[in-house]
Amino acid sequence: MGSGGATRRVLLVAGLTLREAMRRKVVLAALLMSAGFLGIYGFAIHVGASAIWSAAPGGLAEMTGRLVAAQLVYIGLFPASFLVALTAVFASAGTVSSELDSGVIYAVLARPIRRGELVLGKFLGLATMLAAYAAAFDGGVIALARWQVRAPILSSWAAGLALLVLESVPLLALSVLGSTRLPTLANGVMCTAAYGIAFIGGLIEAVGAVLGNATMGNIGIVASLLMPLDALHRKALSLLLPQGLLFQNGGPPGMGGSSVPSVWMVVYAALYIVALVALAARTFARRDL
Amino acid sequence: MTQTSDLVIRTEDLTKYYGRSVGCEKICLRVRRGHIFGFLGPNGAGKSTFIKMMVGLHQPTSGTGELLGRRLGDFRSRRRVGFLPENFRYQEWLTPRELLRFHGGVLAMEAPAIAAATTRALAGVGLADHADVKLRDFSKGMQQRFGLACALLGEPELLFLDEPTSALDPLGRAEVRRLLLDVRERGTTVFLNSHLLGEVEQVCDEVAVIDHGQLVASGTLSELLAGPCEVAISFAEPVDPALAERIVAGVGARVLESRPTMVAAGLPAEDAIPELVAQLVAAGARVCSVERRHRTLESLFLEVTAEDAKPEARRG
Repeated sequence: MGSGGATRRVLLVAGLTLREAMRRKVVLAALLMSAGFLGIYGFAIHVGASAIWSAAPGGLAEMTGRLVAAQLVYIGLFPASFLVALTAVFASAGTVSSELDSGVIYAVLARPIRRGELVLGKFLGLATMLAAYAAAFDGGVIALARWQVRAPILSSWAAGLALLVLESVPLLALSVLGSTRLPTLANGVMCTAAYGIAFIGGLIEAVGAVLGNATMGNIGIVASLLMPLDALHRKALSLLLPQGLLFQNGGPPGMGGSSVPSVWMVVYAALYIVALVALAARTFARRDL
Repeated sequence: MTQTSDLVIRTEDLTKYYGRSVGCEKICLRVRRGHIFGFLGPNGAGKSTFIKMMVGLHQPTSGTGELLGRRLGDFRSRRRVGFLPENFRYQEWLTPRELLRFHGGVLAMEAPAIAAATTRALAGVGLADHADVKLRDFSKGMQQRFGLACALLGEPELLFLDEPTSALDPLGRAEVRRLLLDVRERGTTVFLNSHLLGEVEQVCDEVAVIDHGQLVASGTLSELLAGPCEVAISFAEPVDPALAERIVAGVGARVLESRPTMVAAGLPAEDAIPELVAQLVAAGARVCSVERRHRTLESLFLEVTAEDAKPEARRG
């Protein structure tokens, strides 16, 4: 059985995982709620934009208008990122563990499929769903802001959106790893806490920058290494919006405005994902089920 | 001794410990191709542990084994194996057709072959009309039948069934028995975990009994059930027990039970029966029935798993 067979089996599992998300109405619930979110956000910034442009007969100074518009993108992307991250956890916390509990997994694993192939397939199926969801959600926020408030979006918006799509994937990888070891609920709690660590990491780093405290900056970096979600978010924002228009050192931190991670953080996040999925495949392969 | 190629399962001292408790201990088992093999034992005796090691869900602690000529745990041999797990749960949000398409894909079958095999497998368990109904709408019995169909997909050479009729009514059980005999007819070996002794007795060619993780009996059904020849002779009118016992002893038999209206005897051979009856009649006994006692799987099972027959199962 060559690698062609392995690829085929991974894709079969990925397809089954995607279908499960659809059949169990995970996708439907996510789409409905994000459509609701985008509706409210769109309406709010429409009202805000009218106020901005009609505040003075000649409109606000060009610079102020661009600044406010950029902040509106910013404010929309934070809850979008939060919701996508939580969806990642909810959709994946029991991807292996719940099938062990119900016993669904036994008939599958008695087939000629390696456990690593099953884990990888599940990860890819969930990642595909999550990427599509993040692209639609974050892309919706950006498009609405661009259209309603003429927000200044940089030409590198595609790379920025790609990072927004990528940012929840480390959390997904952690959750898939957790589900090969932990009960579903415990894994969900762990992954939500990991999201908190990423968030507080960004916050500490920002406060450290304001205070000029290197130790706080380092604590923030360690938190970002443990869960690179917020770091990717900040990197994405730096690619989407002109730097001068972002909250710098003193804006609401943790929402990504403080410091811009280097491209190495992106490389690190990619390695992080690969390492966690590999570890998930490995620990699961050795377990007695 | 059986040729190795005739064996679909061969284990040597296969052992599984969970911490300090025993799952299976030093199991040496041979299962021949084309047979229905019954694996019996009380609940918790290690039957499921053994099957889980066979299908690769558990790693043995020690010992070795071969499945269809490949080392145990080699996932390629699983292509030729079907498995119905004990709790038989399936993706309830799928229909049987969809789930069998997935399983067929994992087995590297092509789409037309999967479609044909699906029709065949579902028809075989009486679910032909339910191919497109969601599994969540199936009754427990229907789910178990579906489990059998799923295990049979791809015509496995070796079929592991862990309590395949636990959720079925007597009618369903009879159907499954027929199905198993059909499957054997087509050359598939069936490894049947069960504690339903009557069922095993009706379909199995060979059986093994496991208790406290250890093999306590194994062989063909006829070997295991062949025991000493025993008869119970009843009298229409009471006979002096002392007289009856003297006659029994006279033909070289052992008295098992003695009452005025009945004597039970264990004979050295069955040709001693006519002589015993003739002597009793000659002594004036009015014999009204001579009943041959058979050893049943149940009596064998109770015998080998009885408290005092238990092997030392605790470790260290």
